[in-house]
Amino acid sequence: MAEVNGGSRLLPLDRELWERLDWFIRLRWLAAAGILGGCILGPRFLSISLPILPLVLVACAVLLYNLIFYLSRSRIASKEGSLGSAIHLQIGLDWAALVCTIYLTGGIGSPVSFSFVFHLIIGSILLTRRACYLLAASASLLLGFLALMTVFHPALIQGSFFVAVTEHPALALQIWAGLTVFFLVTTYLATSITARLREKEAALFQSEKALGLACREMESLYEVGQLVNSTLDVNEVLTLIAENTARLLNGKACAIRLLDKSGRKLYIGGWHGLSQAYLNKGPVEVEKSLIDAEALAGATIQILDVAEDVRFQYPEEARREGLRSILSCPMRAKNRTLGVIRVYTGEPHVFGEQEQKLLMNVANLGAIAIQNARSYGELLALDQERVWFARTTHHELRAPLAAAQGALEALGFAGPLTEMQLDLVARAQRRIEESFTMIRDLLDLAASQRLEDQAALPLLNLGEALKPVIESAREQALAKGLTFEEKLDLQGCLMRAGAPDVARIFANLLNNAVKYTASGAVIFGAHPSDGWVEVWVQDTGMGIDEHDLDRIFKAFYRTSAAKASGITGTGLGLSIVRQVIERLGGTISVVSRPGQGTRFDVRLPLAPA
Amino acid sequence: MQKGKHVILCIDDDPDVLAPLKIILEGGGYTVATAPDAKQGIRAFRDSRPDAVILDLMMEEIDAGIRLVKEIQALDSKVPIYMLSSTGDYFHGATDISSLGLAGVFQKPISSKILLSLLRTKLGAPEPAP
Repeated sequence: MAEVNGGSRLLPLDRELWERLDWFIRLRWLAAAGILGGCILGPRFLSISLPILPLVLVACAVLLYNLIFYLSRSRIASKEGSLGSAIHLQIGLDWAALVCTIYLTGGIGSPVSFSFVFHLIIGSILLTRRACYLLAASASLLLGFLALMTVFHPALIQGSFFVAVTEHPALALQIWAGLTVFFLVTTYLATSITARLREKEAALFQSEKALGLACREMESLYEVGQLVNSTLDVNEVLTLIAENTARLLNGKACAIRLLDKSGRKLYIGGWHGLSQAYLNKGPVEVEKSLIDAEALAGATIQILDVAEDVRFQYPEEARREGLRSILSCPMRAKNRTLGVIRVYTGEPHVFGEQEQKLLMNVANLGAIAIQNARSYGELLALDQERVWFARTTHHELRAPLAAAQGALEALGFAGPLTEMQLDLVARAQRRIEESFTMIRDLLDLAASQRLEDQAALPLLNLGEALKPVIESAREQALAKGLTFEEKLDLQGCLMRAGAPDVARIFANLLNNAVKYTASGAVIFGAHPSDGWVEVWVQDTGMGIDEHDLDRIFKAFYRTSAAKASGITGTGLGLSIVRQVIERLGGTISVVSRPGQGTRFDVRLPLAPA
Repeated sequence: MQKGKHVILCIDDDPDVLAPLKIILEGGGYTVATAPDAKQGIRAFRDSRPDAVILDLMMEEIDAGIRLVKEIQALDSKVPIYMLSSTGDYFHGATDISSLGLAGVFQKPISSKILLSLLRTKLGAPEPAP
């Protein structure tokens, strides 16, 4: 069977018929075996005389045509319309074999007469109710014929189970009448039960179909949801929604119009399948376009023919574009209507309830995606403004300090200063210097917090980017009499990051290492490790107390030891370092022992090869 | 060169920057001419024929300093021009500063030591003051 209905050639009903036909063929093997068994067992155990040869011939005939049906199953299944004829042919042949068998086993008195009932029951499953009653009538007629034969020409009847029938003609008629009633009642019961079963089956099939549709719809919606949320670019989001909506609803085109700030005009946001000429037909004024006004008010609008609906503002343009029917609904997110979405068809089409619901769901999904993309865009603009503000403030804060510093610098050239005056100038200069550092770090902090699309950055060669940082750190270390050791393996380490960010991280860490190490060494190491680069900065400096370790990354925090050392600092460096590292998707950890040294370990993700 | 001294022209719109600069340079043995904006700067350049120019690129409006550099270079292509810079200035201008052909950049706040040593290297030692 598997080889036959493996494909989808058969409709569900046909497949059902086919399965029953198959069952019919299997039963027929048993029937033929029954006839042959009766021939052997009847005379031996029941002392019944039967015409063996003719019965064996009938059984052979049944076997033969059943074999033919069995072998031609695949052809019947694949050929359209052949199933019905196959059923009729089988019943016809079975009827003939049955009549022969009844005739050969004693006419109306034969117990085989009951066998018609099997066909009637099977027929009630395979055939229509009317055909079943016709079958019952034909069985009754055939048996009536045999009854008459039994009554009027008993000599013609061969073999007999019940000799009495041939001897009492009235009994033959009584049996016939009883069988006829029995057949009719059986047909009535069997067809009624089958009809009920069919109804239920049909209902089941319908709900299965509806379930399948709903499932497919959900899958499509999920797909659209994934797609439209895959980008935060508003225009891309709109185009994706338009494309997918047209596809889902089998539309010719789709347009998304968004409300402008005044809320009175709709401008085109995203579209699919519309010509530039149609898109340029002009802005849609909500007051003039009734269909849009209704949609914006929350209704799902359907227009069968745009050329004939007064609610449509541009019927002529739509006709030229080849647009006929429209389905339109609002796009709402968080109780705010953003605009309307429309699906157009090229042929007149009535959108069903299912399609209307689908459009509404897609519209809502799309609206959320648009809202997200817009919020992100606003956030980016705000962030850019923030960075611009930070830079400008930085410049404005530095200018007066620079002037003051310049004035102090010039003081020495304006005439000789006393020792006390020189000391005061030096103090003022030192404080101004501290302010410069603070301003620089604040700008760094602002820059380290900015939003950035990491994936859009060009590839950065880490080894190259670190060269100037290392150079400067080495100079600082050597100037202070420290050893500077490099253990770098950065061959082919590429990452998505800006060079200033990478410099910010390691310049800060190395600068700290040099600053807080009085003697000994600063070691800078790095090596790639399974998609990451591990970088460490180690020193033999003053170290950090254990209770300070989790606080050193907080903005403006300086350890008491650092403050007591007299080394100046803003307490922003490590906070900047951690923010930049986290923005790049990396981690930082620290181990330290007071008086012995500190080691910072940084892990940053490399760009996939 | 005036009376054996090199002449330096300083152009900056911030008088609080200009005044100490003048004192430091004069203390270093130079004659100093100053101008508060680009327009007066070009006039002062014609009048004083300086041996070097120090100017702030970020005056009045964006790129005024850059235009001034180009005008001075058109008058005298050999005179060394130094830029006074604050960190952060680069973000505002659209022009690539490295393409201007400047002799050097002095970071604000000015360090007298760096300023005088660089100028001395470029212009040679001034005549000792009488």
